[in-house]
Amino acid sequence: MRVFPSVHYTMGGLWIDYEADASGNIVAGSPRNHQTNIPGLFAAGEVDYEYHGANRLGANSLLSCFYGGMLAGPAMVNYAKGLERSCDAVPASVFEAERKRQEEAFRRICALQGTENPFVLHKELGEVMTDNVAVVRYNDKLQAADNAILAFMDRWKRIDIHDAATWANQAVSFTRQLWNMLELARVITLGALRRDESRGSHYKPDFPERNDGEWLKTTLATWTPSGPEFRYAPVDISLLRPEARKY
Amino acid sequence: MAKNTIELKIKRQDGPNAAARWEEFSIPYKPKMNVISALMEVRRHPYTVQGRKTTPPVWDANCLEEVCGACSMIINGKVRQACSALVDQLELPIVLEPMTKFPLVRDLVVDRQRMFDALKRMHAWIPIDGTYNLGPGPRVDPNTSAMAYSLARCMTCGCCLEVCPQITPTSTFIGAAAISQVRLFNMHPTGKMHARERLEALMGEGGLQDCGNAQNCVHACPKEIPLTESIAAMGRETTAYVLKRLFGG
Ligand SMILES: Cc1cc2nc3c(=O)[nH]c(=O)nc-3n(C[C@H](O)[C@H](O)[C@H](O)COP(=O)(O)OP(=O)(O)OC[C@H]3O[C@@H](n4cnc5c(N)ncnc54)[C@H](O)[C@@H]3O)c2cc1C
Ligand code: SF4
Ligand code: SF4
Ligand code: FES
Repeated sequence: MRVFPSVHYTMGGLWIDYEADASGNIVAGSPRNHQTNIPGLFAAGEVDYEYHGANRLGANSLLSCFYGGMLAGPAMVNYAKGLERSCDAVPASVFEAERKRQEEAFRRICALQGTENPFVLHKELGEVMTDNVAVVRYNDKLQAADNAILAFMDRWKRIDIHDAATWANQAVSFTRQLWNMLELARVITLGALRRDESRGSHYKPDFPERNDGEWLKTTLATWTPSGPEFRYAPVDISLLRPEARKY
Repeated sequence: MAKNTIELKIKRQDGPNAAARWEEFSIPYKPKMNVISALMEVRRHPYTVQGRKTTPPVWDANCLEEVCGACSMIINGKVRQACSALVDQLELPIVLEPMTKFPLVRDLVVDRQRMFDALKRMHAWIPIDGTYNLGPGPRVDPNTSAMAYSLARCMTCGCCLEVCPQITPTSTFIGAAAISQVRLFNMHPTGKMHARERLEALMGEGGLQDCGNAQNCVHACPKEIPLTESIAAMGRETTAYVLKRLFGG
């Protein structure tokens, strides 16, 4: 049997909101809890960015999934109750337009007839990320990784899909996800490049210390057509002051 | 002589109503491959040995450690999990076919819904009201807990149904896996509270009485679950239950 240390949790994820009371405690039931910046879209579990910061303490991911679910459930119910109109009141044309958009995206991928193979691209992406964007990170390697991802994005457009079936077509759904993986790989790589310090599972030998003065903040990436845009938000430490992690 | 290539012969079928065909592939040999990594190699270069361009083979997999059951298929004539089928231990060419007792989706993917329906029919869960803290559950002795653990290893993979002569695409028999799950949930101190419901279901259509005792299931189970013991135990439990019901004990 082969043993290899593999990624088994994604620290970071979709941005979600929460509501805190005057003492800094979370207001259970608030429809803001676990709601993303897309109104009505909630995220709970590994998919959200909350709770873990730059590292996840052992065995705490399931805990945060449960906790997030317990907050998100009532939040969603209360959000739905507070709505002035339900989806029944939304004109069918809205859903129809979205269906057309999705079908068009599917059709575009079915029509890809280049020379690249999506599964090969995926393997190469994995190798680049494992070699350059794992725990130990160097700025020159991160920059090289971003250049490599941009080259993959270019090659993605020249994929040969091999399968235009409209039934159980794994090649198309994989290729669609592969594009999202490329977008996300850039977020992770460029976010790491900017953060010149070491924190949690982000270790830069050239910047070995944790630098709370400059970097005790959350990286926020926003999608734009020309690549991710970065902002930073303060970390809420009103209830618990951070200490050095010494194990 | 060291192998340079691995040959695979895959039964392909584009959909439930399409005709089946065989396609042969050859991939570069690497040590310590399993059938999933071989299939991954095939889809990186979806051309048959004759050089004909084809669609990437469609298969299912998830955990890659033989705990989810998604990758069950027939490998060299034996139903098993593709992720734990090591290429170095298989005769070449490796022949891959979908399971035959479930509706085919495409290529190596089948729909195991009948197994999940059977678990629902058998009430194979423990209802717990999650709205308030129930406190700690009753203690279980180590022997019971060891037995429960061995039964709980079932991953609904379908191997036991695939080899069972009583399971056909049209039969309603729930199969050995669900029978064994009734045993698991009925031996749990909280699960016991719904034992009657499960026994009633087990005595209903497609239940225990459809088992022909062929014992193929126990040999096919990759998790070595004592299925025939479970079937016998449920036979005794349903008999006791019927007698109790008759004589109002
Ligand atoms: C090997 C491994 C070991 C781990 N060990 C531990 C441990 O010991 N302790 C611990 O605390 N944590 C552990 N973790 C982490 C923990 O298991 C996960 O963080 C947690 O299970 C995530 O749960 P989730 O519900 O958020 O997401 P998931 O369990 O990933 O669920 C997401 C679901 O969404 C579905 N889905 C995806 N896309 C779509 C779509 N488009 N439409 C509909 N459905 C979709 C998926 O099929 C999936 O069912 C481990 C993780 C791994 C990989
Ligand atoms: S004992 Fe035979 S008939 Fe009964 S479930 Fe097992 S394989 Fe099927
Ligand atoms: S009892 Fe064994 S063979 Fe049957 S579904 Fe469960 S794990 Fe698979
Ligand atoms: S992938 Fe889960 S059992 Fe093979």
